[in-house]
Amino acid sequence: MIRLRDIERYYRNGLRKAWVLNQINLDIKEGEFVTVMGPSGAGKSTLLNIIGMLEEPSGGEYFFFDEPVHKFNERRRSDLHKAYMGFVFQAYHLIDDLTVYENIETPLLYRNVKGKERKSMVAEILDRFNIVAKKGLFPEQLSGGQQQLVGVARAVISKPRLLLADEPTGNLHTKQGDQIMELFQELNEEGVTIIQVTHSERNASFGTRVIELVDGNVRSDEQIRQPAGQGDAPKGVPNGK
Amino acid sequence: MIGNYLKVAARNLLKYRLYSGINVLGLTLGLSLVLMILLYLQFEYSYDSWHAQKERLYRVSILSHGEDAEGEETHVFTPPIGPDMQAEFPEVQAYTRFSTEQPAYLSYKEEALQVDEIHYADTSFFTLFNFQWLSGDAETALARPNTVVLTVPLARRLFGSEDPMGKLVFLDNQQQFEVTGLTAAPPANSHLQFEALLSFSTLYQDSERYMGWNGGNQYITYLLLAENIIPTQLEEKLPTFMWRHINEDLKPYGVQLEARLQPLPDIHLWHDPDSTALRTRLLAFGGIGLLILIIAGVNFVNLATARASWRAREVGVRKVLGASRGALIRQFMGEALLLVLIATGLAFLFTEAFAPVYGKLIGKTFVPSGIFDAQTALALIGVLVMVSLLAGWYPAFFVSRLQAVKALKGGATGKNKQGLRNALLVIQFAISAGLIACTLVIFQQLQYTLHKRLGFEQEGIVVLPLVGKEVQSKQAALKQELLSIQGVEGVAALSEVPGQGLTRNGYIPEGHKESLLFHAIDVDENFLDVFGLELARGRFFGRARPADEQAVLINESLARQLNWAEPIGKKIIRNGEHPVIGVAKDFHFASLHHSIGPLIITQQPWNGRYHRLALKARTGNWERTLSDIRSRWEAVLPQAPFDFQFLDASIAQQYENERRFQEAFLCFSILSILIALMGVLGLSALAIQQRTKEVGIRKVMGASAANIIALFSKGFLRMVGIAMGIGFPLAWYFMQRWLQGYAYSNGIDWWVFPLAGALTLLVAFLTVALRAIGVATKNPVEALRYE
Ligand SMILES: Nc1ncnc2c1ncn2[C@@H]1O[C@H](COP(=O)(O)OP(=O)(O)OP(=O)(O)O)[C@@H](O)[C@H]1O
Ligand SMILES: [Mg+2]
Repeated sequence: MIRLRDIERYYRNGLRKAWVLNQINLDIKEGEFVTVMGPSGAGKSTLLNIIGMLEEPSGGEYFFFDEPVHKFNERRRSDLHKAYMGFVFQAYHLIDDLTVYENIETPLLYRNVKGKERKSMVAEILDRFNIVAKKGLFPEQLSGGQQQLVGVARAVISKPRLLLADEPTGNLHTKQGDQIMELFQELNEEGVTIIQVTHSERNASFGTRVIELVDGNVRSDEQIRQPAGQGDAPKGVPNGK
Repeated sequence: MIGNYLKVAARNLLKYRLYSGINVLGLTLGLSLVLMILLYLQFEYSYDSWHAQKERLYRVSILSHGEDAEGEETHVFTPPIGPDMQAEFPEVQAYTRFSTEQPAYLSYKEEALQVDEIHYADTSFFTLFNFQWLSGDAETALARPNTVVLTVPLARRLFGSEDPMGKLVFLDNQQQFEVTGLTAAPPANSHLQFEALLSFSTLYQDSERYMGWNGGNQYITYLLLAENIIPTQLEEKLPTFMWRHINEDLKPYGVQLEARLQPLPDIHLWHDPDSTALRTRLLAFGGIGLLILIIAGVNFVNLATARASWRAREVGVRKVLGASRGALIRQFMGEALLLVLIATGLAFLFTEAFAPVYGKLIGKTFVPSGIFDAQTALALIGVLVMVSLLAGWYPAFFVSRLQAVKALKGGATGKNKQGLRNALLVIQFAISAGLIACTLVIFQQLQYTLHKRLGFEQEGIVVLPLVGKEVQSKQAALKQELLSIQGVEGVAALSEVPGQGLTRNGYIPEGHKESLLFHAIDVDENFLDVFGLELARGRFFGRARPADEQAVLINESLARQLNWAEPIGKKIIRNGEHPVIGVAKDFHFASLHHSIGPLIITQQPWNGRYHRLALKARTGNWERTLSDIRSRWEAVLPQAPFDFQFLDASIAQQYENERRFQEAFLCFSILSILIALMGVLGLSALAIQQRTKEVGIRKVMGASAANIIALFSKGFLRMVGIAMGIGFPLAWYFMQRWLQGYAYSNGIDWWVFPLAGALTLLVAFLTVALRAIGVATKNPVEALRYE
């Protein structure tokens, strides 16, 4: 699904270049649940953003389903992003002026899903995440755990084939964190590929593979479990084009 | 999708009340002012445009070329030019004449009214022009001699509830006229104004009237050209026509008259005595409207961008969720459009509500629904589209270009955009500072004109108009009566009142072969004392000196023009020889727009009758003096209504338009400054909101409230400084040009710009500081908690 070749990222600091990512080579297959770990400042978020097409690498090649993303213009990248990916943030990043329902609905609006279908999709996800009672509330009226639940619901409503999560439990206590992780596992079993960044060993144990990043280099990469849907036909066909 | 945008937009409006309040209010105010200005411009441009045949109607004007280079252009001429043109040119389909007004009395039974706008007109008047006809036959009403058409308001005053049709009214208690028609009062946007029209044929029965080509210039001629006639082609034939009829006879006098055609719709804007001033006014109003639009638009754009960067995080999230740039641009445009729509709606309501007040301010009566005419509506739609695009496009474009990741980190308040916002702010302040300076200059000039010494007494002089032959013939008796009133120091009879301009006649001074145009005033021997005039040399008319009857005085300007070192004893010829017996010191007999022209003072009024009495009184009780004057008047002239004016008031009256203009300009510029300040207030509020945390930290580190206020004010004040550097030179340039319209002015006083600068700085500082004080005096812990 994902093939990174010599991906690098640096910032110019005066005349010198400050390297954040150093020639990263990485292959991720569909159905994997990958955890990226490493010390603060190692470049984890940067890597995730590059995979999520929110940021451009300074060099190297990025193939997504064998398509050369590094050659695409912004529009095609954003189309790919829209078609395949969901994003979960450490800081939740819900839109303050929208209710829970509207926050979850927003990705569908940008994918031109018709009203009726949209309604039933939102209803279904509210039901599944057990937040039906909260649908009329605004983000500031929710606890952190609830907000992140909404964040995940919003990330998966468009049935993405790749879910990217940057420290999704960073602001939550253990019990809330586990709830999110169990949800991720469930989604992964349904066929969604997941890449998460975390500092927590406990969270990493929910996944199938752990990559350790130090100073912009992959220090280690080990498979800790067999991916659930390995070999099966991909599930969760994304909506839209 | 649109529903979602609207929802977000509406919530945003409510959530950020200060921001949206300022934005909507500023735009509403701006649009209202622009609407009102449009309303006014539309009014002035609509003059005479409602006549069905306006494209084919022309007024004849006469330009005299004489020895003194270019003469003045006038449309008041002799009666036969119209009929002769129609007879000789197939291009001229019809003509109508309209006499200049001379106030007269109309009476019916016991009721006698002074009518100011009473004119003689040909019966074709109502077929050429489309005045609203209410009763009688428009085509023949003025055909017979001694017929009159009344406007309804006058008819009602004269007849009450009686039906005026067919009734007989008296003109100046002498001639009888039959009422043959009723019309509505002419609309305000008509350059032709009348209360009563007498049939032109009546004039031909009066043997005293001179109705030939040479003399009796009291008539305005309008032509209806045949269809598809190009007026310049007709104009080309006019020189030979004029030669045959008059110029050949005028040749020995060195005067030649050139006839021209003035298109009817152009008359108000280009050929009225006030046209030049009017066009200046229109330009000023149009200009200020444009400036207001710029200010309001800049506000809107500035606030929207400031807010947009405030919303960078939302934009980042939306991008991650799949929003395309187009979608984001649409969202921001939509929000801008919503605000603009709300503001427009409010502006219309506002304008509707304030149209009457506004009309009073600038001295016009507006029908508010006049805004809805096609032309104005189109202009308005253009304006709105422009504002929405401008206001929506920039933030939409800017924000949507943000990188999602940067936006999410919140580090997206880019410096470059701050630069543009500052540039716009500087423009705004430059406009405001310039307007303040202009207002001060206009104010200063008006004060100057109102208080300038005119060279004669204005105070304590009461002018009594003498209307009609009967009243005029009792002038001497009336004067005698008035002199016996206590406190009355003198009474003078005169043809016209100085201060408001005097008519001109042709004279041939000694040593010249050709006639020259001089202003003339006919007065009696009391004139000098009553008006407190001074003589430069010679003497004034003596009491009971019959030899003086033919004598004249001239003013210094005329002596200078003729290069007469010793004018006393020289002769001036017009209907006989007139020896000069004295030279009066120059005085301003016209408004200060005009420099003092050559003047002749005679003792021989036209037809031997004076048209006014001027009475000088020193009294502590004007009420009593006026009632005395009235009772003497009524004793001598029981039939004639009593009317009076104070000279100083009627001189001030001629600056009325300017005073109104100044007031309106003042209002507009104050409001536009207010709008600009609202923008600054909004921006500083946003800036402060964004920097609340910084303020908290600074205070923890020991910054005083004054430090904090300085922190926020410095940037704004520097911009105001730059703005003044731009605004003041422009203001100076335009005001210099405006002052050229006055023959007399003080120039621009030195204090204008320092004062304008101080005012601008003060207001700008207060706006920013008030907001900053709020934050600066808050407990720092509170400020930090919210981050
Ligand atoms: N705009 C920037 N300019 C310069 N350096 C940057 C910029 N953004 C990020 N960096 C640097 O890139 C490096 C990697 O950042 P990144 O956010 O990927 O780290 P991380 O591994 O996610 O750390 P954490 O665990 O703290 O979230 C950091 O050292 C940071 O200083
Ligand atoms: Mg990180």
